[in-house]
Amino acid sequence: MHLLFVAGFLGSGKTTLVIKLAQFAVERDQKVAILVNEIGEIGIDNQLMRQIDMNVWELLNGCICCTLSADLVTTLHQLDADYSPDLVIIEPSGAADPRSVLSALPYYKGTPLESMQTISVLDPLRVEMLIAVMTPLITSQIQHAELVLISKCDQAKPEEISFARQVAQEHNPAAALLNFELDTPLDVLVKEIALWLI
Amino acid sequence: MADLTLEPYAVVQRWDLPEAAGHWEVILGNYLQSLAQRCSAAGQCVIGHIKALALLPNKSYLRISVVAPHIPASIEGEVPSDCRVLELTLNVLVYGLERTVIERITYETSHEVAEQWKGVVNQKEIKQAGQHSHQSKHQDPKGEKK
Repeated sequence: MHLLFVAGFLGSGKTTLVIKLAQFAVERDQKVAILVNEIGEIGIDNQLMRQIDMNVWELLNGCICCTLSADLVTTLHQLDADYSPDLVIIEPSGAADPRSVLSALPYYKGTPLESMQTISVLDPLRVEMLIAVMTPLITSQIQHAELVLISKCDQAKPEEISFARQVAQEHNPAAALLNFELDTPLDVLVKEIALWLI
Repeated sequence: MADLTLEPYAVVQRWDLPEAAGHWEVILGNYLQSLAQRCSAAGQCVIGHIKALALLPNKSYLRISVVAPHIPASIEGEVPSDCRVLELTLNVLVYGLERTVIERITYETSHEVAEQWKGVVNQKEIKQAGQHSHQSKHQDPKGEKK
């Protein structure tokens, strides 16, 4: 079982990325499970994913990084026992701090993970404002990633993309960086993210 | 600005607009954009994400997303050309505004839009199982920063 954790602020493009990756994996006969945690009383992302036939599990009634870390581990155990997925994609709420979520994962004692990767999606249209007013959250989302995806590159100005890359490098020099837009060929993306999918 | 609190607001709305056929994407895109603008005007806040979804026949959908008052809505999917009634699930995630304020803005804005299009919008009651506040600095119930 491979685990992919997709972090990033609200509205940064996580769901778009998760759907693309899941579809790519499903087309290659992989069994994919998506774990979604949304802030708010009605989950929208899980409804959308179900509408397009994705296998979705929802972490309800709280934030994955505040109160639902234990639920996450329990759900992983259930998934492992009942569904045996090849790939689990975790999409936390954009208000979640990945540090708290990732620190819960060592409590998972099911089938050993073949790999675990964290991607952070960074919105260049808002990064300047967000890094100023939501500093701890945004920096944590960047710092815990192996790959930072700069999203919405088809909408952002070159200087906004450049600033986003600069922020990512400043807070996590070791992370790989990739510009991402809706029509980014999936092969390119997957080569950076999950070689085992190909 | 660092202690902005997030009080999520969600609602299901049933839009009945007799003259909306062929215009839903524009109408609802502008509606969410107006929500972002009015929230921003209502006080010091940060728009997290205002997003809406309408599930449509044959596995299709309309998904609308707004992340800032000055950035146009992102719209995905298409509404059938003869559609005049649509059920929309709306989540408004704005840091710094009380839920009651967001609720009022949503109610007023949606009714104005419906009136412009000579139609009506009704809100469905939602079972509020998971209402909670969320702080941008992530404090646990004891108030200790994580």
